[in-house]
Amino acid sequence: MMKIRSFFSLFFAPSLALERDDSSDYLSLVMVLLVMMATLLLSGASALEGGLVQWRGDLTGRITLQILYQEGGDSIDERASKAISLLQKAQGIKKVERVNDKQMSALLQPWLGEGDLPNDLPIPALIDISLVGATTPHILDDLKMILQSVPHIQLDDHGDWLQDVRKLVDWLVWLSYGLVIFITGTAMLIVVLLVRANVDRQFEMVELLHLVGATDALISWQFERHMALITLKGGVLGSFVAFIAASLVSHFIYQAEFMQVSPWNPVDHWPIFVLMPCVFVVLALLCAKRVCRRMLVELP
Amino acid sequence: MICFESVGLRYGTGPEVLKDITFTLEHGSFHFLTGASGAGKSSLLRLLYLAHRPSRGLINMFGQDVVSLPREKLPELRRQVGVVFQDFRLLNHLNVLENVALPLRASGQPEKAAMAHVSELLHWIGLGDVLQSKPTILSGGQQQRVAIARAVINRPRLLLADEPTGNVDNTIALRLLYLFEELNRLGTTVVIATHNEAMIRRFRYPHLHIEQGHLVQYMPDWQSES
Repeated sequence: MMKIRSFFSLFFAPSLALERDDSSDYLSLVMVLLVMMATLLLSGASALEGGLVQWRGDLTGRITLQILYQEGGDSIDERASKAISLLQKAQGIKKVERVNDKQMSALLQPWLGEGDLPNDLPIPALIDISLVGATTPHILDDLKMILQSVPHIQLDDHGDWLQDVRKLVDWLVWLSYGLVIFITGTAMLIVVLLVRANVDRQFEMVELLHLVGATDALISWQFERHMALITLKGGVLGSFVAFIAASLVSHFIYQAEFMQVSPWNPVDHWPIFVLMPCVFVVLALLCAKRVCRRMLVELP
Repeated sequence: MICFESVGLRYGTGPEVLKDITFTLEHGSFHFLTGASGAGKSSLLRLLYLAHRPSRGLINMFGQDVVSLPREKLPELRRQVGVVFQDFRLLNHLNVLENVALPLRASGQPEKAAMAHVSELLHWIGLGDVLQSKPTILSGGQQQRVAIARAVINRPRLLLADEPTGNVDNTIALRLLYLFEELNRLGTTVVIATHNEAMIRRFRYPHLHIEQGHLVQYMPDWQSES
């Protein structure tokens, strides 16, 4: 209780008017950049993870059946119809739908250009299978059993592709976290160096305050508050710039029709944009306090 | 009320600059602290205003044992001591009002009341028209008065002054001594370190004389002369 009371009395303690320090302006600018980078990285990592969950959600419970071209025997269309009829009778399958020519044209557009599909190309038929539940480990074997009378087919549950993407995303996310820690550490190192330089530069004042009866807590608070305000100013601006940047990137992803819905919507990640400056301020306060107190202990 | 007993002081691993200092300052007393340059006057003052702790011996101030007192208790004790430094130690980035208010702010007194008190004192000592001025534009005498105002603003029980008459002419020096006398009459214990023999003889207060780190004379001159 006493500690809480003394903290609040310190919080409203008078400013002992430290000498104005020009390097503070630069620190604010550095904080803008560091908080912006940290916020973007954390928000980006979060969006990446969220995006992967969304893709997995889209692809889980879905299997693509390819009816491949073969010389002689039944045509692709006949085999596709047979496969659809077999699948519709099977249990655990919610929906079976053949990808129509228009959709195929859209899928192959990057390679074949716009227009109808050419008849002389051995293009396979694609059948989209939606399962009642999620994809199970043995589903491909079960489907192969059902479709054993349909030759030249290929089943794909997107597992391999997702596995690779998962690894890449995991790697990127951990890299982002690592960079956020590195950036935060760099910011705090700058705070530590600046507090040390500040205390050294204003040592005459510090010693005088000490001699007129100021407590270590009050003297230290002057520097802590100074650092916290600089960090808050830089942090809020940095976070705001990061929010604008993320919004622009999100807009461009959406515009580029890379995805139906951009996974990086900064509004969804607002806690990151709000909390990051706060985290920086708290850490700056703690660093300034630790450095300052250690220096003040040198005084008798 | 202030008692030194066999006090020694050395800086780091250097030689002892104060040796076996023993004396007592009664409440409301007035002393001059004399001695040649380098004799140890400033070191003794530093012990008195708690800028150092002794290497050995006992110091008791206002009923507290300074040697064994925890560090966090010292600020409270320091607030009972006012110091006029030889070089004034005014902070040039603060104005006169803020400089004098420092001890009040440091002791956490309400800002409004503190400022009113400071303003009143500064008007009383004739600095009412320079409240917002920075120390750099003040004359030596004015700076000295600001330093004295800062030392007494907290109504200290012990007032220490290091060569307060060193940078001023005799008239101002005399006025300063009268001011210190006035404060002494109000109950403040005063110790003034000085070389000014004329002043010492004029005011005829007891003095502490230091020679090569030893307190060699404690009896006032005027008593021994009579």
